[in-house]
Amino acid sequence: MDELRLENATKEYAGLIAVSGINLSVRKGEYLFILGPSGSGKSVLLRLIAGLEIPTSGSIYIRDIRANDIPPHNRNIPVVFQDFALFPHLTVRENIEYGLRIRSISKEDRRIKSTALLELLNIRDMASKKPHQLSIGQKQRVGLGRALALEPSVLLLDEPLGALDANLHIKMQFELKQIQKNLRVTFLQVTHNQSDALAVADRIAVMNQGHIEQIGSPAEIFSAPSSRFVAELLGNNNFFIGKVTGKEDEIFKVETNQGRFIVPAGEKSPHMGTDVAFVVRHDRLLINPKGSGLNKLKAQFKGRTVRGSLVNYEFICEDQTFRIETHLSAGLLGFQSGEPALLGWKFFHGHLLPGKI
Amino acid sequence: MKSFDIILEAVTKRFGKETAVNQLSVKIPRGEYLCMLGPSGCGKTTTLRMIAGLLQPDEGNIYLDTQRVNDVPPNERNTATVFQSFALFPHLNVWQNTEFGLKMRHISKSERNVKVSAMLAQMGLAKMALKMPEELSMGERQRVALAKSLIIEPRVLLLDEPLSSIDVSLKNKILIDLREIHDRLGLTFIHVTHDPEEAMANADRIMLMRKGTIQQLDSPWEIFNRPKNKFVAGFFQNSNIIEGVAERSEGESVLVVNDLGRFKVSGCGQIPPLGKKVCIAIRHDKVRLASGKESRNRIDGKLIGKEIVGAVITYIVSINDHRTFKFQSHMSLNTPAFDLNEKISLTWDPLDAILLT
Repeated sequence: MDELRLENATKEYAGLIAVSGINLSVRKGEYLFILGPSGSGKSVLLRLIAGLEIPTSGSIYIRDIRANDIPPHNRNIPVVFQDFALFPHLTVRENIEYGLRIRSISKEDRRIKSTALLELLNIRDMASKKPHQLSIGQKQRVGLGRALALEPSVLLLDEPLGALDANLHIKMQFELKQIQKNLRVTFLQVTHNQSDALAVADRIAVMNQGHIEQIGSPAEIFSAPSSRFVAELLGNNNFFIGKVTGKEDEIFKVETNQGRFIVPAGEKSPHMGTDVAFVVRHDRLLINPKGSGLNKLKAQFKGRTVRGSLVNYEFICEDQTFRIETHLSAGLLGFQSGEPALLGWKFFHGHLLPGKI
Repeated sequence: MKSFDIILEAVTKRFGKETAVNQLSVKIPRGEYLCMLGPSGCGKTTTLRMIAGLLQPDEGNIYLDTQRVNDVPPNERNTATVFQSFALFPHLNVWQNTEFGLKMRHISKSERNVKVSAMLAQMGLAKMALKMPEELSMGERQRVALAKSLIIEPRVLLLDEPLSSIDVSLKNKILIDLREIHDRLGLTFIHVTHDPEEAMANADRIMLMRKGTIQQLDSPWEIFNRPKNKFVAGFFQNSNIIEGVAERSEGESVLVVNDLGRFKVSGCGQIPPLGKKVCIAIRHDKVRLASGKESRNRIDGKLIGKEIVGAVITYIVSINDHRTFKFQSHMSLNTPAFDLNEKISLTWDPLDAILLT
């Protein structure tokens, strides 16, 4: 039984389609990310699941029960918003107990429940503090505690870390993952930040113009994007566009502006002469590579940036820029502007895009 | 002699009992791209506002181009500020927004036309001249805000968290744009941010602040590779910190001892008194797998977690119940795969360890 299932869910506003034909099964205990740029429909999808919007057509099932008409407060699917929405006049413990109190749970039971959560979220010492006395990280844990007190089947997180700087951001994202893992609660997080999703998700659903463009594990999305849109959203790929000129076993020959390359078939089997696109990850492209089974191209050096321990090189070949990401511990290579170099990659690191070019 | 655009001399600013900026001195050469970086409340925005003339220092002097400007109003300082919110006039189109500063300075219409069309062309906004701000993307609004500030030909451009309302996916592009505009115009840029990535990417020098004082003022490379103290090392969250006691010294090397073993730090500028408590910082990316024979600079533990961000893999190694040690690798490096709970020995070069004071 799925924790949550959407069947052909569509939401229109006055003729404008916000999300269309969404089919999605959320498994018990998974950390699912909905990733997409602004306007892709990811927030509408979250609101449909929370019950804040009703689908124009299609169905939403919570544990196999059709939930289209169940109001938000009866769904037991709370949302944690960006600002955590804590009550400033209540203590940490009172904030966590709030939902239980309005459900008329006895004082004793509330106490037991909140003590367990304070312990679990490692904020026991803060029980009698007010929100303004807490750090951002502690506030986040209280926000989670309040949502988790009701033992929800699914917890929705709406860009919960949007306002934080990069360092704290990734730290708190890993902390969220740890809490989710310890509690074995299903988390569904909406974000436009691909690194968050890649870092901790069990699965990622990538949204584009109201539909799900690809759903899969972070490794699949990262290494085998289904379309140019997904590859560009992740921003970690070099593109090659060309025509299929030959096929041998499961390997294609593709003729591009940059040369002729061999690419493994993957899930797509294009015909001779068709236009195709394939990608090679920035960290899979090599400078002056050695060995066999390599695709090679000649390019001119354009620039190098060092950001922390990451080194990025840019090369130009036939008016197209190719990026290479390496690590500082592999050393720095020096080039003059315009200096020619040989780039290459192991052919099996090429990935044919099955979707739209 | 180097010419300085901006000199701050022992500048102090208090708000009530709080000292926001404390005896701060800095010289900013003409044409520099300086990033003021630090956590919220460190005094970076207050410093920027004092340079802009929006706040007056309680003590100390501010010089712009050798002229003391403590009492000069903002509009006579020849500085322009780009705010987080962009501060565009919603009822004026792109052309009118850009033209505004010239009108205020009573520049003739014919001269305005020449300057505005040149500026819009330079910013890639020529086709959007008649659009209203609400019709523009965030990235375009940012460019209009820049055009509006630059049209008055300021000596210094002040940027107050210019990217905090921009989507992550756009951030990189805008950072490159900002740096490119800076290089083209040769102006002094002061860019305030709480995001180390922004500062690392764009700055000639980073001024890292805490509690109203400068912790380190150096190139991104120096700050990242040679942090001066525990705060700086901790701010980037990219280092392991080991505490111990300075046991003995030999030339520029110090031997630090604690319950985990002996650790050698080479290339120390200053030798601490022996017997003193000290800290060592070792960057995550400087740590490598040990052969097992090392007697110094060695940490043994077991793998308890992996954090993957893009192509960067950070391994978390538990040393004992309380302490963890991290080492970072990259997918391009072919680091052997480890299973959770596997035993791991780590080491590093004594020259890559930094003694913190």
